[in-house]
Amino acid sequence: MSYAYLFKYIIIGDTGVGKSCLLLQFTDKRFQPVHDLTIGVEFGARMITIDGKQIKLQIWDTAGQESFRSITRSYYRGAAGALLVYDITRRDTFNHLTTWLEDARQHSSSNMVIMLIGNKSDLEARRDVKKEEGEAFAREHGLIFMETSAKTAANVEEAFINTAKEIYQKIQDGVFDINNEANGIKIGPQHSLTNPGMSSSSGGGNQSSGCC
Amino acid sequence: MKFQSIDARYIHGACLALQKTAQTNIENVLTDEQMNHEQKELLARSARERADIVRKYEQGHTEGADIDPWEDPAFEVYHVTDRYGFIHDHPLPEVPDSVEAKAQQVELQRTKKWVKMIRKWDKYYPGEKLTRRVQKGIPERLRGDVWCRLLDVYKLKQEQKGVYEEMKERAHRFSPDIRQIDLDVNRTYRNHIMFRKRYDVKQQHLFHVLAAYSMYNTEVGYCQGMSQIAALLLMYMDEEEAFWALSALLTNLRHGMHGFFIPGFPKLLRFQEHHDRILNKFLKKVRKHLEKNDIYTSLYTIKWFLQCFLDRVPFPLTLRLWDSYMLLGERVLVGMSYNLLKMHKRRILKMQMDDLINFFQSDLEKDFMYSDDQVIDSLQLAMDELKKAKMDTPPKGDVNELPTKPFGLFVPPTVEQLIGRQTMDLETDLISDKQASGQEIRPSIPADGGRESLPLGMARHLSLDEGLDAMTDGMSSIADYGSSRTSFMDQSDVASTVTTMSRPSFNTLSDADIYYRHMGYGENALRDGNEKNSPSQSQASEYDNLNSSMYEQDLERTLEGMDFDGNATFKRGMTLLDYNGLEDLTSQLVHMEPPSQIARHFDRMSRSSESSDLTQQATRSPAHSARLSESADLTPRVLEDASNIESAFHFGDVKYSKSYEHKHYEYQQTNQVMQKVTQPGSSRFIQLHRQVGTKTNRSQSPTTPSTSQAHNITSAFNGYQETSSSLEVGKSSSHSKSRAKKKPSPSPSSEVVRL
Repeated sequence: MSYAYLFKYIIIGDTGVGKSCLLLQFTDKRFQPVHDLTIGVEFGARMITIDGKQIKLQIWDTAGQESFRSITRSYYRGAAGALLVYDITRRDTFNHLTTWLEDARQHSSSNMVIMLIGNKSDLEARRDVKKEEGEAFAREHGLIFMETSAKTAANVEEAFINTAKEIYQKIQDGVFDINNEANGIKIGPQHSLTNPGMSSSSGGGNQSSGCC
Repeated sequence: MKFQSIDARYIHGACLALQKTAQTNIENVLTDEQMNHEQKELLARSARERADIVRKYEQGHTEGADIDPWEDPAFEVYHVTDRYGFIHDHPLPEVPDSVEAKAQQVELQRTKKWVKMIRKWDKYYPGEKLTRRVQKGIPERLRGDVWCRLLDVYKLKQEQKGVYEEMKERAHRFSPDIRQIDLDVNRTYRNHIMFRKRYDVKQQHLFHVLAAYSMYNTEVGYCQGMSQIAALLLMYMDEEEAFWALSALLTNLRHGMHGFFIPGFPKLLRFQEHHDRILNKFLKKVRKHLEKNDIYTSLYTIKWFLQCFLDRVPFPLTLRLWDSYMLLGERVLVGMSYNLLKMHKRRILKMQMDDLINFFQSDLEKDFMYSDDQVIDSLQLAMDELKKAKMDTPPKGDVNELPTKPFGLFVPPTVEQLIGRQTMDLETDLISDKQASGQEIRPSIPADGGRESLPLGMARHLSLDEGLDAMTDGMSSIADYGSSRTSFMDQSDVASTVTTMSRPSFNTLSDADIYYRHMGYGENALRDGNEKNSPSQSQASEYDNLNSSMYEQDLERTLEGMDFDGNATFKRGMTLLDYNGLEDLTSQLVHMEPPSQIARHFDRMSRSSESSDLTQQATRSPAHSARLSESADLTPRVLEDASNIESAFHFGDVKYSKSYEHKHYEYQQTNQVMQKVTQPGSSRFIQLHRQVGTKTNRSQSPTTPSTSQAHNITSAFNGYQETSSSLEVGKSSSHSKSRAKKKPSPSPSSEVVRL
């Protein structure tokens, strides 16, 4: 399928916070209460539209157990966006955000957009981390923030799409060098000749054709 | 009510121990500011959490259990359950009666043959005929038993009686992995009827096996990926068997999965590199195509190698692969990875990135597109092909992949581990710790941390605390512990003894290890599939000839691994949970530490002599064992011969309803009966005993098959030992003296010297 851009995402965060469930909700629009555990990395993809442009999100879902970081780390490098997820019912997953963030910043391109996600917002009764705390953390570290529920699908679309918008904006602003694939952005086949980062006016020019 | 009191005791004990830990080590581990109020609270909280988790598993899936609705999927529509116990979303395809009948017939015939073969196991294993039959698939009904035999599980279990229970108990109190294990049990094969109900019997077993193993093999602890393996084993074995099978898979020479799960995953990387090498040579086009689509070996082979294709190919095929894997070991992983790409080459070359990823990630699991027999036949060819090119196993790696610490070593978890803080932010602590103490930190610590980035150097501070010891064993072990140190000081630098045991360690080579590691795939034997081709004389003599040189090769490999940092480990101090043979089945303690350390600990030991009130805590909740024996009482069905098998054999009509558990235990009973009929192979119990600088004692158990083998091992060990000073504390005189000092303990288990 043709697309204007392809953005690579990585989903990170402690074990059991719902990373795979978020991905499944986003790609398949369904919730699986007991998702199989992720060993290493798994993959998901979906097409979205921003500013009239087809954007393909290629999402790498990672294992949360700490020892797997040596494997998952290599996926930061080519990522344009990261969803850093914690579980609002487990404070320790929130406490670990700093290490995740350090790790991400250290191994990714400096322009990577990071979205902080407090997942399981449906479990209000068991909330262990206040929304304000999440917001404060995001503010302090320059992240975008959202609370989501992979179960009810609340904010799941938004989390993925807002991240894409931010990346898209950065492209428009010329922040991203889109010809460097290490940034996690690819231009769709029929777009490769122009550089929209420079000639940003290309507007909502809907592309089609560009088969194969 | 019973549970509540246990709960309270656990919490109370854990808090007490932790407070003591904090107090007595305050000068070593934490300054006052560091051990602040917050941290104390976190500690208490983690102790509460651990106790709570353990309690839930002990309570099981009973009325009033604390289970969230989402944790226990209702599976409101009772979907179709296949013959392996998996519940499917969609009805299974209809199989024509004639095909079904044929399959039953074949399975029945095979089962009969297998029953005969099992009765004379030693004659057939290792051997050509058995190998060939394993390739055809072990009959479902006998799979558990055969897997146990292939992994020497019965022997291990018998030789190390009590160890599993001990590890389990220790884990319930100390394992820092409990939370992770709990999370993962909750999402391991929940679509399988055995693991479907939260906290139900098999979930309990899975929890206990993983928790116990995290204490037994402290270098691995618990790593994700192990839960599915353990679950697979539990589908065919009982709890303790699964534990020893897991242990065998991780540490025997044929499988050596240890290297797959230790921090840094060195073996995984090595296999992935080798896989690339194979593609370069045999499937260059495929490799280029994959890389053009950004698909690298490191992405799609993780589960292939870490879990021998679990969840990556259809379950029935997985079982066939596991049959081969149990028998032949790691070359199956190499061969099948190649074979898979080879079989699907044309398809792969037509696909683009997303499709390719989905193909590896999920399509193949749904439908492999070839029959299991076709795959296995093709696998054999692939393995032969690789063998000819000398690529059937990867070259040795630079990094040690073998265990370096003795099993059952008790390293009390650090405060950070107990709280669950991640180690990244501890790296600085580690460095300062190193500087402060002037101690070497283990060289093999991966830069990326992981559990083991808190090595003994760190654990030293917290280790062997009165409170923690008291928690485990009460006063008796403390007294013994102290004595072991005194005797070490008495003889320091004089005696050096290493005792290796017939356990699934890297020091143990079974006949089968040698046979299958070096004979490879049985080549001609496997392909012609002619059963009349009985194991020939030449086969046997070839095997004999191979024997001695192979031991040498294997030992070379083993020792190189040990040299990597074994020496450092020894110097820094290590504890051997030893096992002393077949007669008294009690664990001994062998402790080696620098004298200064020992003196310090000993000093502390002698100062503390209260805490005996904690001894009673060693008694375990009876709830669990009651539950177990309840299940074990189920219908033993004697299957001593083929005719009995026939009458008891329900291939087609097993409906896996609520009685599934019954059926499973029936299997276990069957296995046990069969085990009695045919005694397992003679034990290979090799003891090495050497005194540096004075004389060499070589003692063997009467069942040791070959003196020359033992000799090889002994001489190979000599060089290693001379660099390390160590001590055997068994039933030495100082040891028993100290026993006399301590209060007599009412329970016979206090005779077991524990850590």
